[in-house]
Amino acid sequence: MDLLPRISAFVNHPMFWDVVRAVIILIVGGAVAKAAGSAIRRFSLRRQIEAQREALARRAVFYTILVLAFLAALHQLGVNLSVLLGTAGILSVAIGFASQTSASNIISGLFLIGEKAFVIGDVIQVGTETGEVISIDLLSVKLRTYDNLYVRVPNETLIKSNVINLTRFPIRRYDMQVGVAYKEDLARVHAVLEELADRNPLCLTEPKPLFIFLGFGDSSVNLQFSVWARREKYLDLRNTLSLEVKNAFDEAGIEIPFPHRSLYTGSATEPFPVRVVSQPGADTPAN
Amino acid sequence: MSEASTSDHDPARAAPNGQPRWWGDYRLDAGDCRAWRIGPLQLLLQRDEADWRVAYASSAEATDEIRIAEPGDPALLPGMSPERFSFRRADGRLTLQARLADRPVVVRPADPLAIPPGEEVTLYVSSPVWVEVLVGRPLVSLAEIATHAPSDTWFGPSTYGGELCYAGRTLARRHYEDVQVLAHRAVTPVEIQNRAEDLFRLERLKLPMPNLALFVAPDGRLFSDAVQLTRLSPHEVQVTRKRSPERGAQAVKGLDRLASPRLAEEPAGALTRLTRWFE
Repeated sequence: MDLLPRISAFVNHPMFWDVVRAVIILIVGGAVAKAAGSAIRRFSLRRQIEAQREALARRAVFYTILVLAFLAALHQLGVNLSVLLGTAGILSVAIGFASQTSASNIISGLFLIGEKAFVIGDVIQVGTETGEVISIDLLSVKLRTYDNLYVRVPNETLIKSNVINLTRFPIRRYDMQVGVAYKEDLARVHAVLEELADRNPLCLTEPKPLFIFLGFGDSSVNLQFSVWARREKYLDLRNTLSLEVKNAFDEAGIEIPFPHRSLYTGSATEPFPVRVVSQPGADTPAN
Repeated sequence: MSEASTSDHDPARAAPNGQPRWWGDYRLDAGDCRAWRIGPLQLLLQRDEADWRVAYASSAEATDEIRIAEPGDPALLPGMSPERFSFRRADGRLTLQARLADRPVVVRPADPLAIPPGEEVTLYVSSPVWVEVLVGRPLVSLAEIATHAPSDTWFGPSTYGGELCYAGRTLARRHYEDVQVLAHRAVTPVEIQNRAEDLFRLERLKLPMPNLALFVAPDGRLFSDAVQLTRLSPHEVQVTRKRSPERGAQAVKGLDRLASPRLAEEPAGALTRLTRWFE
């Protein structure tokens, strides 16, 4: 059989061992990069470093080691790196033209990371989507919405549109709009609402609750009652306060009106027909 | 139900004026359920071999009642959303520890208060204490509960720069004798010196409770370290923590230390650089 000499020739070829060494460099480089990433994660957990910084540091170390290993492997194979870099320059122009959107997303991603408008763990609103930021990557930001959907928002979209960070500051204001009947004494309504906020432990004492007159509506006097709460308790406050306002208004006899319509008969129309009925216990029929 | 052995509700452990001391060491036998009433807080603890159940409720009414380790009704537990803690080994040792608030407390004087230039006053301001439930040896903390859950408030120059605190109102008593003896509130003596040349209107006062230690006076009053506030100019206020109420308020003598500050002691320089503690 001539297989053995062929294998022997293959193994003894100087290029064979270069390829083996290059593969070993790649494998070891990958393992070292992974181990370094894990070490950074453990270190961050121990030191309670925020997720955003940890992710950035982990990726930077991982990809740097990987690129260095790749270049070392190429060097091992005898590839001239300076020629390769020159080729890469030309290639990058060509790729740049071909992938403008991706390039734009990458640049936008760098700006987003630098600007720090939000970090991993924040809850943001972009267009119609609201969710928790679970990762900020080179091309896109991933959100987890409250109904547990995974939303990928391209970085370019984030740079171009308004982003609302709902968890940036420790306290938030809840603006509750409520209408009361025209007959109600607004000073009394104000006092009832103030007392309610005072009793609710979720309402912050300072900044003080705001009572704002919005205007005379079609069926009600429209008011806004704004109270502050800790960010974490915002939803609780929103739910409890609305119920408490309803109950307090019911107790105090303050009417929350629904739309009213008054009907008139003009000279051009016939009068409304009136039917006379007798009330139980009444001696004479009611008019 | 077996009798809970406790040294704390022994008459000998009560203050000379009879003010009961609810903090200290207790022992609960397996299957035992005990109830404490510490002001507005109702606390129920049950031990079931190596399991502990902790339940509590806060009364809406203002009450100063203190009841210690009375037989509790286990039937009340389900309605109080108890928390269950499981241990490997059964141990009936229980400690109730009095603590100061875990956040600063911002108090407003009930009436507007102004201090003329060159004057120096001591005010006595009270705030609710927390109950820490610890069991076993070594002690394991199971829960920390406010005897009266105060409202949250925000203290800072803007709505994005500041700190979450607890809110309170104070009568800002001037004399030690006027301070009511309550086993569920701690009194902080605040010495205020107005060295500026204008009137000092005290609207809000932020007490750095996590930085203060807790003491009990022989008469049963709970005291924190004293705080000294020196107003040097309208824009410069120096705040320092006294080592104990004894130096801040001459009347308080013979104190026993109940709890250390929650936060490690800050260097004096760092504490004095804080300028917006008082407004």
